[in-house]
Amino acid sequence: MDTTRFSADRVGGLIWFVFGAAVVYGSWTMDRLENLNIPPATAPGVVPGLLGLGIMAFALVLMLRRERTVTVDFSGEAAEQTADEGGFHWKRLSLSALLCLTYGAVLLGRGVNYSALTATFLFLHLLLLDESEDVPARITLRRAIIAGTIALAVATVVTLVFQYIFLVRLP
Amino acid sequence: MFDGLFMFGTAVVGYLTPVSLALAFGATLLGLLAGCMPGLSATLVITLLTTLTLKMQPNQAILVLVCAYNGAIYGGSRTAILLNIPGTAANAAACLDGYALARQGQAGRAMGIATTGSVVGTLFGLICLALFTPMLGEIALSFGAFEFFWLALLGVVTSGNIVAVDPVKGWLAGFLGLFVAGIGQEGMYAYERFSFGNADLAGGFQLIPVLVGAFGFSEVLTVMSERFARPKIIEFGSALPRIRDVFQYWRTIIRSGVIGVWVGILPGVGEDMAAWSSYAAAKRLSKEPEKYGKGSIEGLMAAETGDNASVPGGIIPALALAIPGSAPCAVLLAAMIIHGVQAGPMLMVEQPQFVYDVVAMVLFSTIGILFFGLFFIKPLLKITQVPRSIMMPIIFVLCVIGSYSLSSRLFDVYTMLGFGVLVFIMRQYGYPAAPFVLGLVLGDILDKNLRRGLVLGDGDILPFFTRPLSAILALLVLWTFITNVKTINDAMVRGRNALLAKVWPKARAS
Repeated sequence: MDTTRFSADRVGGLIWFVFGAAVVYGSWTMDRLENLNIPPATAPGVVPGLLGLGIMAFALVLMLRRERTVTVDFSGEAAEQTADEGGFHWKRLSLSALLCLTYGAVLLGRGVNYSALTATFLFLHLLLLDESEDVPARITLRRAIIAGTIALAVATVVTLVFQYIFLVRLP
Repeated sequence: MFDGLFMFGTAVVGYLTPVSLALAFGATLLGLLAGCMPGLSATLVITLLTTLTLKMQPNQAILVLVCAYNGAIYGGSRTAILLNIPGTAANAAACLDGYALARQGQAGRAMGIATTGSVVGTLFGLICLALFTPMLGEIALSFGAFEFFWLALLGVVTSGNIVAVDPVKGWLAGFLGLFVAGIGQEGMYAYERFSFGNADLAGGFQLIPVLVGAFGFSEVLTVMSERFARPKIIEFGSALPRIRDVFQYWRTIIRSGVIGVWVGILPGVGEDMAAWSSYAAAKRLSKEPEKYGKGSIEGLMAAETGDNASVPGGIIPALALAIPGSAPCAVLLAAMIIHGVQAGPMLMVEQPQFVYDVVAMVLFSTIGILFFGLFFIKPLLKITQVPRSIMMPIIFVLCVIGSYSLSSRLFDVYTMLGFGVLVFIMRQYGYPAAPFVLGLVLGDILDKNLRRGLVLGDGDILPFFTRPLSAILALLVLWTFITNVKTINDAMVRGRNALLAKVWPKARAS
C-alpha cells in the first residue's frame, strides 16, 4: 500500500498559516470606517489583523523547526494500528459522534418532539455503545430494557426541569 | 482590615439560611461526585452547572459554582487513590503516592491525608483570597489601557506556555481564542467583523455554548474514544486523618499552600500544575525523597494541598483583574458576567461585599469537603462504578439543552457542537483547550484596550513600551516568546557565544 507520511506538525502548521493569512486578508480588506473620521489605528480590522499575523508567525515556527514531535499516517489501516496502540477506539468514537451530531445538528428543532427525540437518542446510544470492545454492542433484551428505562427517565426529567422550572421553550 | 472582617462576617451570616446551606453543601457533594467520575473535569461540571443556574439569584448561582468547583478538585483524589485514575487532571500527582499507599493497605489513611491536605490548602488559599484580592484590586486601579492590553496578552501567552507540552501550540490555541472572541460586532464602533452577513454571527459567539462545546462535548468524544475498563476498588479502612501526620508535615503544607496559590494566580495555568509544582518542591526538599512514588505521605499531602490551594488562588486575579487563573475560573468569570457581576479593578470599589461573599462560599465548600470527605466515603465511591457509556450520552443531552436554554437559539447548539469537534481534534494533536478558553475570555479586554491605548496615544504605539509597568509586562511577553521557541533560543545562544568568542576569546576557551 502506498503510504505517504506527513509530519503532523508541518501539516498543522500549514493549515494554521493558511488560516492566519485568511484572517490577515479579511482584516486588511475590512472597512476602515474612514467616513466616520476615526483614527486609523482603531479601525476594526487592526486587532484581528495582528492576531492573524501572530498565527502566521507561530505556524511558520511549527513548520520550519527542526524537531518532529508526532507523525501521523493518513492511510486508514495504519491509522487504526496507531490508534489501537494508544488505546484509541475509532469505531466507538465514530458511532457516538454520528449519533450525537444527528441528534443535535440534524434532527433537533426540525419539528420532532424534543422528549421523544431525546429518549430515542439516549436509547440508541445506550444500546449500541457499552463498555465492551464490540461496536455496536451485543444487543440483549436485558440491555434493551435498561437502556429504555434510563432513556425515558432522563428525557422526562430533563424535559420537565427545563420546561417547567427553567421556563425554557424546548426546541 | 476591619472592614474586610466585617464584610466577611456579613457574608457568612447572609449564607446561614436553609436554602443557601442546602445549595452550598449540595453543590459541594455534586462536585465531589463529579470529581470522582473519571472523565468529568471540574471545568465540565462548572460549565454545565452554569447553564443550570441561569435562572437563580446571582449570589446563589455563584455559590453553587464555587462549591462545585472546589468539591470537584477534591473529589478526584478519591479515584486517584483507590483506582490509580485521576478523577480530574488536578489529581494526577496524587496517583503516585496515593495509589501506592492504597496497595500497601493504607487506602483509608491516604484518603484522610488527601482530605486534610485539601481542607488546609483551601483554607490557606481562602486567607490569601481575602487578603490579596483587595490589594491587587487597589494596584490594578492604577492600570491603564496599555497595562490591561499587555496583561491580557501575558495571560494567554503564559497559559499557552505552561499548559501545553509544546508552547507554540499553546499560543496558537490562545490566539485562536482571541480571534474567535472578536467575531461579531466589536465594542467601539459596532462594526460586524467576520460575520459574512449572517445575523447570528453578527452577535458573536456566546461564551457559554463555546465553553460547553470545548469542555463538554469534546470531553464526551474524548471519553468515547478511549478504551473502557471497569475499575476495581481497593478495600480500605477508616479515613479519619491522624493528627501526627498533619503536624509532622506542617512545613510541606505551608510551602504547598504558597505554591498552590501562586500557581493559581498565574493566568490560565490551573490546579494540575499547582499539584505537580507542590509535589516537585516537596520531593526536592524532603528528608525522604526515596519514598516518593512508593507511598509517601508527604508527597500526597503536598499534591493535594497544592491543587486545592490553587482554587481560591485562581479566583484572586479573576475577581481583581477579570483575568482568570485557570480554565474553571474562566467559566466562573463568564458566569459572573452573565449574572451581572463586573469583575475587575472596579469590583472593590463598586461591589466590595461580593469579594467577601466569594470568600464565604469557599469556606462553606471547605466545610462540605471535610464532612463528606470523612463520613461519606463508601456512598461516594458507588459513583465510580457507574459505566461511562451511560454517563456520556446523558452529559451530551445536558450540553445540548444547556446551550439552547441560554437564549432559545439553535445557533448556540450548533456553536457548541462545532467548537466541541474543533477542540476535540485540536486536543488529539496536542493543542490544549485552556489557552483557547482564556483567549476567548480575554479577547474583548485585549481588543478594547489595544485600540483604546492607540486612541489615547493618538495612534502612537510608544506608550505601550515606555510606561514603566507596560514596559515590564511587554518584556515578560517578549521573554516568554523568545525563550520558548527553540529555534530563536538556539540562535540567541549561538549569537551570544559567537559574540563572547570575539570579545573575550581566552575566557571562552578556558
